[in-house]
Amino acid sequence: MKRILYIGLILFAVSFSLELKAQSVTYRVTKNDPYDIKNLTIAIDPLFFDANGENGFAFGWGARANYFMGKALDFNFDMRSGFGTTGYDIDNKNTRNYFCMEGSLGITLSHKVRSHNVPIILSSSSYTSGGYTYTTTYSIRGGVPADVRKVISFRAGAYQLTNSINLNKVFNDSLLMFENKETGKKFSLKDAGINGNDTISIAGSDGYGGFASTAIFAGFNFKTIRQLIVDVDGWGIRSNMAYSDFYIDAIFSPVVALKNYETSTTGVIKNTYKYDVKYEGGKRAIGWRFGYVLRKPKDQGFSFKWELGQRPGFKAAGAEGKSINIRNWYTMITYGLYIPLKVKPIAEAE
Amino acid sequence: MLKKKLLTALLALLGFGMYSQVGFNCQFVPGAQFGFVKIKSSNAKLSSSHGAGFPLFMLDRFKTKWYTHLDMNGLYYSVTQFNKSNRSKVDSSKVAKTEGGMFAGRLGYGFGKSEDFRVGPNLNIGYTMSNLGASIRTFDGIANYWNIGGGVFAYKKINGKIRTMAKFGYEKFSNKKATALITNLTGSGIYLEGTVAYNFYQKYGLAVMPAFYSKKFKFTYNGEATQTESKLKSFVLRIGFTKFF
Repeated sequence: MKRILYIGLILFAVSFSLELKAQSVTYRVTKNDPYDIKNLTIAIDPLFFDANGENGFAFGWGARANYFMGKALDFNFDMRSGFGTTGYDIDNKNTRNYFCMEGSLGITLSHKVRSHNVPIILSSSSYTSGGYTYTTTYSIRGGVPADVRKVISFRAGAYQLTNSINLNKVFNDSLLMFENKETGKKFSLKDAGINGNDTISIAGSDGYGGFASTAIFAGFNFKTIRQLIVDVDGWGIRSNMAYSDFYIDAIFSPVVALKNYETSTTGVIKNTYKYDVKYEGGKRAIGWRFGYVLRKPKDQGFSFKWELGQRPGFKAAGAEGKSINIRNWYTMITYGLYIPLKVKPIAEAE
Repeated sequence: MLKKKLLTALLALLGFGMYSQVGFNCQFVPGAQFGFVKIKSSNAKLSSSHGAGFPLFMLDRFKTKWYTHLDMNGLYYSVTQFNKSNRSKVDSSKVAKTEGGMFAGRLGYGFGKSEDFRVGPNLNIGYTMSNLGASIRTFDGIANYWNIGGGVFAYKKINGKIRTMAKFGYEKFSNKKATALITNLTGSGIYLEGTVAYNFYQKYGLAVMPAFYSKKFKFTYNGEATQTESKLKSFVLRIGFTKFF
C-alpha cells in the first residue's frame, strides 16, 4: 500500500513540476499569417528513389514546380530521370531508363481559414541507453492558436512513364509472346529455342526489357498552409510553419506497352533479329496512389515529396485474377532544393 | 540616462538588423562544374588527366559570423554514374572522374563588425575521394582517405548585388587501406577557392566558384616495395544557386 502511495506521490510531483513549466511560459505572437506565402516554387531534386515491383528500384534526379494561382487554381509539374535504374544498360536497346513526367491542374472546391491550436516545440533532446532512445520534448501546453488555411481541390492530369522491367520475374513465360518481325513466327518465351523457334536469351543482364505507360489521373488535393511565429519568454523565437499537400488519385492508363526486343548473334557474321513483344496475361488499366508534399510557406529551403500506390501495368505471373499485384506497387520519395517566388495571378477577383 | 539607454538599445537593434544582412548561402546542389583533374605519378600507369565530374553536391554558407561548408561531390558524382557503370561496352566513360568529398565539411568563425567584411579561421574534417588508380571505374576501388586541416576565409560585400568570399587552406590526408591496391596512404594538400555571388531576383541569384586544388600523396601500390608518389592538380569552375541573407 505504501508503495502505491509513494508512486502516486512521485507521479503527482512530476506532473505538477511539468505543469509548472507549462504555466510559467508566456509568449507573444509575432506572425500569424497563412496568406503571406510564395505561391510559385521551382524545385530541383538532386536525388529521388523509386522502389517498385517492375525492376526493383531506380534513383536519379528530378525537377518540380507548383503554382497556386490566386485561390482558385493549382498547377503542378513533376519530372524524374534515372541515373541509377536497375536492369538498364545504355548499350542494350531492349532496356529503358526510368523517366517520369507529369502535369496536373487543381480547381479549388473549398477554401477556409480556421483557428487551430498548433504545437510549438520549445526544445527537444534525445539520449540512447540500453538500445532505446529516449526523447524529452518541451512544448507549449495545449499549443498556440494559429490561422490555418485549408484548401480542398479537385485535380486532374496526365503522366508518361518509362522503366526497365524484369522479364523473368514479372511475366509468366508461357504468356510472354515474341513475334519475329521478319518471318512472322510467333512463340512464347517458354518455347523459345525449341520446336524450331528462335532462341531468346533472358539470362543475367539480358533478362530486362523496357516498358512505357501513358496515363491520366484525377483525384482530390488537400492543401494546408500555416505560418505561426511566436516569441517565447526565456526560449526565444519559435515557429510552426508548413505548406503541405496531401493528394489521392485514381489512375487510368489506356497505354501500357512492352518495348520491342532485339537480339544479335556473335561471331564473324552478325545477324540481328527483331521481335514484337506482347503479354497475353493481360493488363490492369486502373491504378491509384496517394502522396504528400511538404515545404515552407515563404522561405527558401528543401522540400520533399512522397508517394505510394499501384500503377496501371501488366498482370504479373501469379497475380492473374487477383486484385493485389505486388509487381505494380511502388513507393517514391524525392527531396530537393526549391526556390520560392511570388507571382501575381493573371486575373484576380476583386 | 534614459535617452542613453534608448539610444544604446536602438543601436543594438540596428546592429542586429545589419548582422542579419551579412552573408549568403551558396548551394551547388543542383550545381555543375567545368574543369580538369590531372594526376602525375611516379608509377606511369597511375598517371591520368580527365575532365572533372559534372554534377555537384556542395553547400557553402556564411551567415552573420559562422561559415559552414559541406562537400559530398565525390559521393554524388559516383551515384550519378550508376547507369554508366552498368555499361557492357568498354569505353572511357567508365573512368571515374571523381574528386571531392564523400562527406567532408568545414566550420569557421568570422571576425568583424561591419556589414561589408568578415575574416576568420576554419577547421576542416572529412572523408574524401580521388581517382588515384587512373583507370578505375566508379564503384570499383576508388581511393578514399581522411582529411583534416584548417584554413582562413574572408567575406566581402561589394554592393547590394554582389557578395564574395575567398578561402585558403591546408589539409593532411591519411588512410591505411584506401583501396585493396592502395595502402598506407599519406599526403597533404592546399586549396584556394573563391566565390562570387550575384543577386538576380528578390533574394536569389547565381554563385560562381573558381577553385584550385593541389595534393601530394604517398602510398604503397599493390604491395610494391617502392612507395608511389602521386601529385594531383585540379582546377574547376563551379556554378550554383545563391540566397542572400
